[in-house]
Amino acid sequence: MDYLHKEYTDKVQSDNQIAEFLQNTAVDGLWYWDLKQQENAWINDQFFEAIGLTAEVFAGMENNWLDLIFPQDLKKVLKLIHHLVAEGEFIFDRTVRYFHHNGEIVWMRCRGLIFCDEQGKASRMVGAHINVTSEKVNEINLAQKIKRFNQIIEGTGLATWEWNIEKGSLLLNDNWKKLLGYEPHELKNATIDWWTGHIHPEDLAIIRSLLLAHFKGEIEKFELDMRLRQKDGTWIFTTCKGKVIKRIRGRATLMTGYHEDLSAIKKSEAELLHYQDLLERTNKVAKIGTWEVDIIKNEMYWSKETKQIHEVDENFVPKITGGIQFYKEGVNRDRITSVFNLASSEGKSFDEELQIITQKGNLKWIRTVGVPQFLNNKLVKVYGVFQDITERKFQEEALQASYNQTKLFIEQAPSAIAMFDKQVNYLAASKQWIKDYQLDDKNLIGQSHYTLFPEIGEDWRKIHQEGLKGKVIRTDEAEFKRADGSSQWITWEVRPWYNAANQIGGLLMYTADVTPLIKARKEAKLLLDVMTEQNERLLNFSHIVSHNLRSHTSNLSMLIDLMEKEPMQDTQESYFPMFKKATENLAETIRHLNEVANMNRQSNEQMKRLNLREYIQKNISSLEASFLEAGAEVAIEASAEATVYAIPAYLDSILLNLMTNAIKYRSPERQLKLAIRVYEEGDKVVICFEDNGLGIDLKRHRHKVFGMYKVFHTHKDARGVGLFITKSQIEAMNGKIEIESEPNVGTKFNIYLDR
Amino acid sequence: MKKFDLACLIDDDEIFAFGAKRIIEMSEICHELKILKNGQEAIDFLVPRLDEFTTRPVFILLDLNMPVMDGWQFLEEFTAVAPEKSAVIYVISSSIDPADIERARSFNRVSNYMVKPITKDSLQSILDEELNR
Repeated sequence: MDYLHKEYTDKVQSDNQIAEFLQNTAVDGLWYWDLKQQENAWINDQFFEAIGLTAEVFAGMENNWLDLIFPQDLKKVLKLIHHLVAEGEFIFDRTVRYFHHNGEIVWMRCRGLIFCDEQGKASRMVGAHINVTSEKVNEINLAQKIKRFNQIIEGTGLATWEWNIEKGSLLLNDNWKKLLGYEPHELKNATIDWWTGHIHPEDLAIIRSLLLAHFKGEIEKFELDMRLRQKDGTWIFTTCKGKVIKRIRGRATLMTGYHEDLSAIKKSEAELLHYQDLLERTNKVAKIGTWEVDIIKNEMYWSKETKQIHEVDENFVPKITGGIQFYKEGVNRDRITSVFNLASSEGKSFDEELQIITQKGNLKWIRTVGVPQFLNNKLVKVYGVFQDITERKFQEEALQASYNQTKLFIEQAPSAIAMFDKQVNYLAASKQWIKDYQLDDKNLIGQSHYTLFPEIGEDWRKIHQEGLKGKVIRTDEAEFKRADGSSQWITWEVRPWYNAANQIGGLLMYTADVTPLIKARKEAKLLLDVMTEQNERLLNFSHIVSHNLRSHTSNLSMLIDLMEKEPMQDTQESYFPMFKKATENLAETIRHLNEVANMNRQSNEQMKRLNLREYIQKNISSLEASFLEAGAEVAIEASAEATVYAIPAYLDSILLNLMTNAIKYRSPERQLKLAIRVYEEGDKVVICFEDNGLGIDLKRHRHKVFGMYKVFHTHKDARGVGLFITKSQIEAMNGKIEIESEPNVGTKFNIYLDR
Repeated sequence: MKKFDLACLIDDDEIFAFGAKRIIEMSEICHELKILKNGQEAIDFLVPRLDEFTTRPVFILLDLNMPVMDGWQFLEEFTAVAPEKSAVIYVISSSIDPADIERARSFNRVSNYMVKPITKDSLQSILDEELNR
């Protein structure tokens, strides 16, 4: 091949153009090929080196250089040369495979210059090699990868798109079409304008600005949540991720990307944000722990606070099933299992207040909030917060229990009791209350007291307000006049009630109709009066028997005893007047005794309408001898028609007693003057006895004027029974007696009796 | 033998006073008998003479129910001023009311309570009792 080398050298030396071309291109070998005898070519050392040979080794081999070329590629090279020459082209550029000495394939980019002879036939070609093996291998691997990725994409259901930016055309895969509800055969000629028309108008502005930034290279990836309109017109949430994959002179020409359907998890995400925010805020004020269940890794995480609530030490590693075991067996554990399963299967968040038993065996109320988190429509995590609400819950429970107890107590109370809130709305009322105030049992709770009783005045509202300020207001027997004039007595009380925090929660009202009680008490008082009266009379009776009656009988027996011891003639003279007097006294006392014993309040049936003047005159007549002996002057002022409603025997006794008194206690210094006047005063008739006798010192004796056996004079006949009996008889006939007197001037009695 | 220089009967009952005077005279227990109609008369008579009674005590028969000043009032007023040994007091009443008897006994100075009527024998026996103390 020396001739070729010589010829090549000559050409290079004689033609600068060739030299320059070779310098620019020769990297991995030079060759000069005889196209007329194709097995002949000159190859430089670099060429041999690129395929793992040397000129010496090659010389020792029986092959010519054509054997080094991939046979298929050689055919193509020859074909191309022929084609080029026919077309009048002389520049050859083709990648050709060579066999490396170790058996591997070497990719060479061959660039050559074809020379023709005088007949225009290709005779020689000079060329150079660039080893492009590594690039070629990469290219193949890449193609394989792309093919594999495409298979994966189709398999996983990822909705992909490819946007030819220059042409404005879109290439959408079947998943993409499916995402928007289209069939695979549709949208064959989709354009970017069509797509733009299916993006929510509100999202367009931000999409444009992000795209621009990405095209300029300011952001590495295009990534955004956007809303797309489905074939049926409904909107779906998607996340769109994309990247420019081809640029021409810096200009983006091709971009690809994919969509994720967010609709199912968009809501959860919003909740997630809400709870993350809640967490941040509440963690500052309350001791709230967090927890997280990683579904993929099947791991559970508890924050420090969550561990403290469970009363486990800081190194405790919770397990998913173990976490559930802390919940109290039964309702609580069943509930957490159920809501957690719903969260993981249907993506539902939960917020529960449940009971746990801590590691140390304590019962606690906790609030657990769980939010599922999705990635590519797949649940990856459930996480949330965990709070110890024991104190609040126990307080609530205690409050509820105490409220329920109170409510039950009130409802069952045998009295009229009602419980109100601070606005005086009903919380509870006893059956008696509902009955007493004629309320509707069913719709009572929550109603305003003032709405039900619009007639309640300011005075009561004021009392209620006092009660709400903490005062207890009570009246035992308030008298209310009924419309019919009768009286009703009510005992009522208004007092506050206190909640668990010891704050006033509202009012308790209690009312009781004590009218029957008051009536019974009045009756009892009346009975007691009668009893006292009767008892007093009995005592008087006993006093008369034990004292007066005895004093006369003892006198008589004393006289008899003395008479036995003394001579007869003496007794006749001195003892007889004594006997006479003693027996007279005895007779009078027995009469008094009879009057006292007969005094009877229940003698109304004996009451009669009597002519007063007749009775006065009758009694004066019976005392005529006494009046004459005393030289008395009696004046009567009474109309013939004056009547009195009285018991005849009592009226006689009263008149007789007062007249006898006037005679007995007349003044020895002046003539007795007795005036008896009768006049009417209201529904009473007044009988007035006025004398000018000894009188009584009322300053000293007023309290005992009408007492039993009170004697105010040293008068020999004073026995002190008369006025007592007179007064008792007057009172028995529903009347009264008054006295006015001045010592040594006279006495005036006024007797009031029914007409 | 006369036991007392002076005896006083305080009673408003003329019949009783008549009988009692006879019995006391027959019993010969005193040189002099004074009859007084009520507590006030008795106070007026006795209090100015209290000096005389320091050596020879006065014997008092006292009724309870009397006008002006009754026996109870007399007891209170008299015992307040009279030295202990100056009088021997007997309550004498027709009342058999246990309350009266009890009340009379509540006065330390009252020697005994006699229920009317009194006789020469009953008067004699209480006097013996008194002297044997």
